[in-house]
Amino acid sequence: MDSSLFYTILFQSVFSFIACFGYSIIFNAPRRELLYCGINGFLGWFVYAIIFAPTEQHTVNATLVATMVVTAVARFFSYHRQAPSILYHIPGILPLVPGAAVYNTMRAALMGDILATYSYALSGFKLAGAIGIGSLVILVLPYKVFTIIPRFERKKKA
Amino acid sequence: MLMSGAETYRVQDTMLRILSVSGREKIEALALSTMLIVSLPREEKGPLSMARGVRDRSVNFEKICAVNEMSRAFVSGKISLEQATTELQNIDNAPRFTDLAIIFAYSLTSGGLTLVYNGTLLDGFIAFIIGLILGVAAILNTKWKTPYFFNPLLGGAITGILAMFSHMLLPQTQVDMIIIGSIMPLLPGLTLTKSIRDILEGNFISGTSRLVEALLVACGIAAGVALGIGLFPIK
Repeated sequence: MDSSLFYTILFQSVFSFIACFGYSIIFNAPRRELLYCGINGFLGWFVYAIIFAPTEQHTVNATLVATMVVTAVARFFSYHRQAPSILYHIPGILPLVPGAAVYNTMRAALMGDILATYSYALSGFKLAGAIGIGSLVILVLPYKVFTIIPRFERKKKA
Repeated sequence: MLMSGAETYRVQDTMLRILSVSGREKIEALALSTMLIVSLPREEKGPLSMARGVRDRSVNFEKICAVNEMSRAFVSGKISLEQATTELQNIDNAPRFTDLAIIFAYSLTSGGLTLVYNGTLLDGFIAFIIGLILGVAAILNTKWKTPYFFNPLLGGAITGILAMFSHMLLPQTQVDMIIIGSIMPLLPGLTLTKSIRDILEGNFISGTSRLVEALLVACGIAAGVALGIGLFPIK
């Protein structure tokens, strides 16, 4: 892979970190977990871009794999930080949510291009489905899979 | 807890766990996306039951985490019933992020994601400003208790109008990038994920109703943006 492409991806992922950090503030996540939400957002876009960038055509595959990685990491964090895994899951998939498809569908409908409207809407549903299936595949794994690495005992609050 | 946006199965689980302390059999706890029912059998006077509806909803992960932890501590016998009750009140009054922080969070999300989707720095900056206004609008909407559907519609309209306006002033900006990045904090990613989890846990009613909710919000945003763009002549 081209090194300048790699730096672009890295640059985008850092902004993904910032965006996901902000997004978890909107949902009032506990302060001590904010950093981990951001890390998950970083990972989500990084994996997506690494798979997507070389060919620029496998959006659904890239979304699927990135969602799986994010979900697995979220469940991992959930075990190690003792918090509900959905807390890390939501910011992780934020950059993968098909906002572009929603916008393009609307735009095509506004221009009166019926064929483009359907094709964008369908691609949006495919991406949403990829997110759904990617989460599902990891969520059905038993909890034990994520407890292989033993957890450090957290200090109890007084 | 349901009010703070937890998944239905987690609510049901927590209620069952707390009730299991009472040591009775045949306890039932049911949660739907907008209501919960608890029933506890008694020998003397027949079963005791209680139903609660959930009216206004906002998302607050801090509460979910805190209640989760508290209920586990209560069941394992670390804290008594009185302690648990005061703890619950504390959680209810726990400090949220300030309004200013939430407004900045909106703009960080909008600006950041615009840059993630290949926008230039200028696009990111404009999306940052749109995000500020979106944050203000969202907070005002919660304060004034506008209908649930109104926030995405208004947010979409604001985004559309401002993006087109900035494009008129600065022709080198990309409208697509700005709009796509800016509507991200409004999109129902949270609802979509929750609905998947609920369906997976077997709560089909909550799951499908949330799926419809997600679709409705997405349509609302699209309608809002269309409204905003429609005011300007399309090039």
